[in-house]
Amino acid sequence: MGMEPAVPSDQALVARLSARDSSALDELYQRYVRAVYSLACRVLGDPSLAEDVVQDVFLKLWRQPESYRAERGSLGPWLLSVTHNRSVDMLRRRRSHAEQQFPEVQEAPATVINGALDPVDLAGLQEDAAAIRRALARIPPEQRRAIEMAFFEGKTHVEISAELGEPLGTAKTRIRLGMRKLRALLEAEGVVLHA
Amino acid sequence: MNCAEVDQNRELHVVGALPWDTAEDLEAHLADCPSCREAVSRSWEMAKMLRLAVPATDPPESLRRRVLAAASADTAAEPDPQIPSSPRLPVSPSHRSPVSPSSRRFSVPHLSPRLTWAAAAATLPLMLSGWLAFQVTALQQEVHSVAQASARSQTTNEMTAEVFLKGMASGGAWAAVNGAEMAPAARGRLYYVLNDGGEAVLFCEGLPPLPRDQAYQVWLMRGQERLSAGMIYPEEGAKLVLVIRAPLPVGEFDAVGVTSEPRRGSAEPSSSNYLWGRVKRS
Repeated sequence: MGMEPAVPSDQALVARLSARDSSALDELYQRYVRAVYSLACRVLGDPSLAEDVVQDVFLKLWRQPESYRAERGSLGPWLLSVTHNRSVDMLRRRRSHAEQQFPEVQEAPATVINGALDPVDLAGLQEDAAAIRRALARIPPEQRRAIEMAFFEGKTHVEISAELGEPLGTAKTRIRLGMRKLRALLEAEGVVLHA
Repeated sequence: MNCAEVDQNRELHVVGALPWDTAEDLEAHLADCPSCREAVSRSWEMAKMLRLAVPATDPPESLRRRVLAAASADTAAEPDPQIPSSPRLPVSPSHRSPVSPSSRRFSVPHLSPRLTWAAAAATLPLMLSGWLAFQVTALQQEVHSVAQASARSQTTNEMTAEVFLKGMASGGAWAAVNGAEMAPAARGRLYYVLNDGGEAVLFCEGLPPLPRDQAYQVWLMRGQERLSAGMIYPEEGAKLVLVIRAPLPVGEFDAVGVTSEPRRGSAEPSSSNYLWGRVKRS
């Protein structure tokens, strides 16, 4: 006879959200709030706004647990995807760019390896976080800066070029080469990137 | 956009560095190109890693209390799911469980058998007429609610026909509306009249159910401006239609989006998109 795992999986907790189990929300909050809040702070640069995003993200999961689908990937990356989108959208709204429009970019669904998900992926997230930080530190600073301006500051390559006073093609090349170099560094470290 | 251009732009796409029209062109190419879809999917894995590359910052403890309190308030605001919101359909006799001979629906004082039967015979027509009256009332209410839905549907059909007729006269265009982060399986199409007036019709399907205090709100977007175009109520069916009457031609807007909001609507979007589609063509 099977026994309840000592630590409930993310999927089990999400299932309990549908039954309005607030203890499940609290458990998920405690697991992921640090990553969610850290990302929101990095993008928005404002702890108060970051708190608003954190509330939005967890309330959305509470109200619509069916919006997270396990076959698309682990819960942690999904929460961070929602956080990033909300934060960048908020950041762009705060900036006055009347001529530009930013669509909700649709992320391709992940492939689940072996059809199973780790019960609690926090340790994996922490290892991945350390790995990407190491990799970022090893790429040329101008490539890192261009990637950060796009990803964490919500800027297009047109804006990056203008801000850095560089040709349009240069900004694009830096982002492209920087991202490919990051991938190569991560793969050399043995970090598995699920295609 | 061709495959070579996708390869040159996929990393920019996943970090959000592409202007919206270029991003849209890239996504359109992926719909028909499995190899590019695979390549972009690999690039998305890098975006997932980048989201972790931030300084770790601990939130205040008060935030936990705030989130849990908000969830609790959310639950308190939900209607009791045990209480039906609409009259029950009348129970057909074939589904009614048989009344056991030993049970009585109404208790009567102990009388002699003759008087008991007489009292029962006297009250039976009254009970029966009361039961029938209740069933008729429930049936009338059900018919009325169906009639209301039918009337709304008929009105929507008429208004939709008007928009298409106008489009045939002065020109119309279609825009694809795709499932976004909150509802990747949803889809839709927007038909809008060109140049003359702000009429449009949004067709959508595959939107997930919402809590009973929420509905979908449609937005027309232009730059940073978000104009509410109306509400869609998911309980009205799997395929939903909204007739839009905007203050200017819908083709002047950059995009259309659908979010989840309180049933009374919001002044501005408060959720991520369920549906999104580009409208304005440069």
